[in-house]
Amino acid sequence: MEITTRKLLMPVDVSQLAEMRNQVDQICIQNGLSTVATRRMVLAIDEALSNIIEHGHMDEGETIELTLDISLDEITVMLRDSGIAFDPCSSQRQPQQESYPRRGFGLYLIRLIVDELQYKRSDDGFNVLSLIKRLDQQ
Amino acid sequence: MASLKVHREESRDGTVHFELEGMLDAHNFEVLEALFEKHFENGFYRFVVDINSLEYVSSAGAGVFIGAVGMCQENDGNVVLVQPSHKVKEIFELLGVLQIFPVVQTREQALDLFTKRAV
Repeated sequence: MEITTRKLLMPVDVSQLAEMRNQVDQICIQNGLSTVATRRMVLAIDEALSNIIEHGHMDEGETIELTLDISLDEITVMLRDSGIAFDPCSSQRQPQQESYPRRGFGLYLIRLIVDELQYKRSDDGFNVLSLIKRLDQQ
Repeated sequence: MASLKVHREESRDGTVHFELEGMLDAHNFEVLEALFEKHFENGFYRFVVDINSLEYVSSAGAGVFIGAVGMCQENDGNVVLVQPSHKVKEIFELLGVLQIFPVVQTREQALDLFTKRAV
C-alpha cells in the first residue's frame, strides 16, 4: 500500500498555530482527504499542539515534530515533543456542559475525531502521540 | 497573531454587539475573553455575537463562548449567536454545546429575543 509521508516542525509558540493549520490543510487536501476529514484532522492536530505547548513546559526555540503518514484508507499523525511526560490516553474526562466549563474540551474533541489515540514515552525522553483516523469512515 | 477582528457596539438598551472576523484559537482566545469580562464588570450580560465571518474556532475559542453564556444566563442575560458559518457550527455541534446558545440568522432577530425576554 502506498503511503505518503510529510514531516513538519512546529515552534513551541501558539502564534504559529494558524500557519501550521494551513500547512496541514494543504497536505491533507493534496493527498485526497475530503474537506470534512481535512477540517477535522486540522482541528484535532491544532488541539493536540495547543495542549503540548500549554502543558509541556518546553523552552522557547524548541520544536514539535509532526509526521503525517497518509494512505488511501488511513491518516496517522505522529507528534513528538520533549515536554514533560503526559499520557493523554489516561484521561477519559468528558466536560460537563451544564457547568459551562471554559477549558478542557481539547482532548475530548481529539477523541471524537480520531479512531485511535496512542501515546508512548520514548526511551530518549520524548512524548510520542499518534492520532489515527481511518478514511473509509469519511 | 492569528487574525481576529472584533467589532463592538453597545446599544442604549444595554445589549452588546460583537462582530467577529477571522480565526479564534489558543493564540488569541484571551482577547475575546477579556472583552466579555470587561463588559461583565460593567454590568452587561446581553450579547449579540455575529460569527458569520468567523472562519475557525478551536476548543479554546469555543470555551470563551461557553463560559460567557454561563455567566450571562446566571445574570438574566444571554449570548445569542448570529449566523454561525457551517464550519464553526460543526465544531459547536461536535462539542455538543450548540443547544445552550440561542442561534438566529439576523441581528434584528437576536434583539427581538431580548426585547421579548424570550432568552
